[in-house]
Amino acid sequence: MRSRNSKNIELYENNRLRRNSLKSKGKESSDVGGSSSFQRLRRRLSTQSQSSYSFDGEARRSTIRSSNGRDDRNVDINSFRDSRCVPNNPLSLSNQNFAGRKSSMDMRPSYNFDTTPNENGNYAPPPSMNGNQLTTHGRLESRDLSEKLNKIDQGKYFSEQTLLSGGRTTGKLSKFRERFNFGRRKRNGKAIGNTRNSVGGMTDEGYTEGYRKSNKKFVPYFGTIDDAMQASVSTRGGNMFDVSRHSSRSMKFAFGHNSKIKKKNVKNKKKKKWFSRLNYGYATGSSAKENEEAFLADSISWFGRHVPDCVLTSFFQPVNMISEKMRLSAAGAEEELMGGNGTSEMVATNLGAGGDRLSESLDIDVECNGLQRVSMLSTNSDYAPNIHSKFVDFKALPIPHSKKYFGALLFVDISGFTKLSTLLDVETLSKVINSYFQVIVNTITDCRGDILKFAGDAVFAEWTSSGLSDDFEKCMEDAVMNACCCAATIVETCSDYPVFKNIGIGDQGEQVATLNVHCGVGFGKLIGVHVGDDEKRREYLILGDPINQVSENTVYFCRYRH
Amino acid sequence: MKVARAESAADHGEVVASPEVISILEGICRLDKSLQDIDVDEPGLIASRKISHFSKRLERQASDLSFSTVGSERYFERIQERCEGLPLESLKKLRNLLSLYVHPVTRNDEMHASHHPTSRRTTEERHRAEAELRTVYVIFVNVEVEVDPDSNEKGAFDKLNDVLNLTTSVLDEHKGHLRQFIVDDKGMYPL
Repeated sequence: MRSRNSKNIELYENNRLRRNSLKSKGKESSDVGGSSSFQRLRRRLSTQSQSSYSFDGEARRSTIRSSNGRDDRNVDINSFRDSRCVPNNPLSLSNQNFAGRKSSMDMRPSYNFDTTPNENGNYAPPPSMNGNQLTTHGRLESRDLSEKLNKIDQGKYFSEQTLLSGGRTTGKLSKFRERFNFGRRKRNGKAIGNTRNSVGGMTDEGYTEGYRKSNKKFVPYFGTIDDAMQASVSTRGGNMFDVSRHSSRSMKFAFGHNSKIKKKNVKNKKKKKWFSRLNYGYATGSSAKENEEAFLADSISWFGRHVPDCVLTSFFQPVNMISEKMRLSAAGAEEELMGGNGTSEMVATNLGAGGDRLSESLDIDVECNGLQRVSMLSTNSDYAPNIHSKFVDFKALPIPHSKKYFGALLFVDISGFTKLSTLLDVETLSKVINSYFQVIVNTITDCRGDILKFAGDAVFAEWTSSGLSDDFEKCMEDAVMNACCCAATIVETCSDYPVFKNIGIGDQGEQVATLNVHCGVGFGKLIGVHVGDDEKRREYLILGDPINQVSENTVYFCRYRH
Repeated sequence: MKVARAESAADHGEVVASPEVISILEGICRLDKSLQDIDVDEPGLIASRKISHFSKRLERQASDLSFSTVGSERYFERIQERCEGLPLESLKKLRNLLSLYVHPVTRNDEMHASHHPTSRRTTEERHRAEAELRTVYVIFVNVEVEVDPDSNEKGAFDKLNDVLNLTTSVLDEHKGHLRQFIVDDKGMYPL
């Protein structure tokens, strides 16, 4: 029995030989017009005499007949796309991703299948396929489809685009390399190694592993989904190679068009060893540190979902300062930066509208003739980073640590949950709460607000007076306007929100309750306090006048109204 | 708790703004006559369901530093971007510091997870783990602390800090978790 690796290598060799054969027969030139990928698709179709395919383009449908002229099937992909490529589906690519790859989308095959999972949560194989191959690249077979769909459902797969497009995309490699250093290996800060023979891969949701050959060592790369798609561009002109169906994780790799490298890939034993690594979805050796860094970045991002933006930003402030200082230094502003009282204002100006966040890490006198003044180079703050050090030192905040700033505070109170909890089962209640809060959270985020706390069924959000010096008043006005607009949008969209018995099901059934919301908006000096310790637990508390205002507003208003 | 009183006082589907907010709105946008006529010291109704009593215009503040200014779609992607290039030790410190602000269950799940790619959890799996149905016992504590009015803010913050540290240490002894620590106009509530 042949091993997986030998199968992969054989498949790759077959692809190469077939391409060479076609070249020699003069079939490389286009006889149908269109893109090169279209030509390759046409060739593949012509080799498959048993079936023909139809393709659903972006704005039109066209049927491509196989070489024998038969047209057996013309089915719709929209059922698949609609069911999986929804913007809020974490397992799917965003619409934007698709929009940027028209050529790939044009190449997608069309087929029907049942998108409803069975009682076990698994997807049934498509009945119409009858064992025929599905994709343009001939890699995905129907017998594998149900298994792959199940993996998608479990988050094991990258996305349906991996299934459909074969991973071939368009984009700018240079931009990708510049941003993520892909294809470049650094030693002592200098790039080394060959950058052409890079190999891009895609794995599970949200992460990408790309491998490149550099000095006979392979280093994994972790990036975002979009970058994964761009990674495959680095091998444009080469062969796409799918090892996913032989492995426990989904991967699609693209080989570079350096023929010498290809031969080495096949013959070199290290390459075979590398294949075995790919099958298990990880690399070892020098990549361990990079794996850990990627994991830590992922964890930080996950924790970032649980803490207010102001807390998160405060920890990244040293990084911003250092990068900004480097930028200023590069611009030749170093001498000006280090001189006199103008230093702080200049840096603060360069830091832009987020300068108020400096109060977290630097000394700020909130009220000084009505303006904020930043003492940038003050050494009184324990949290001020050492901007001359090579590495960023995230010193612990001196606890308790407080900062003062002006801001608008929004208090959103939701009513009706108590009654609702007695009427619905836990799962349905969870869905209702999630969907309702999602609307509120999205509205606040879209209005550039920062959610401070969920207190039961209430939400606190703030808009800080971004900007310094002369812009302070303008920023105050912006903060108030954004908070008021956000509140008005929330009561407009979330008032009298009907809750049905069968939420998420076609027949929603009877309406069991109504959720409602009311808001209070205040403005004034806020105090953010970090309390806790460095080992067990910390809390970020908001104190100040606006807290009283948002609650008192409604009380006074009711007296006035009644 | 004035926030709680607000819940019972205000009607559904209404936005009430403080006098400070209304005075600022007055200078930057057009207000309805109902808002112009109210007393300067009293809050006013600025929006009600489909009706807005002020001319709305959303200000977009562009900033490279604040995460919330990039919108919800790129928010978390940007966090990861900021982590790029940071050395391993800095990333560890940053993660440890941030983890102190999240719920202990979430923290433990994440901190004890392996960084090996094969065992990495997806966002979906993380959400699922957090949303599990648990049987819990809840203690709601109202802490009354007397603060010397002559003392400065630092004294009050120290008291807050002591209360939180005392609460967490006692909870640790009894294998409990601090769900939330709320301080508002009515008092302190370790939950």
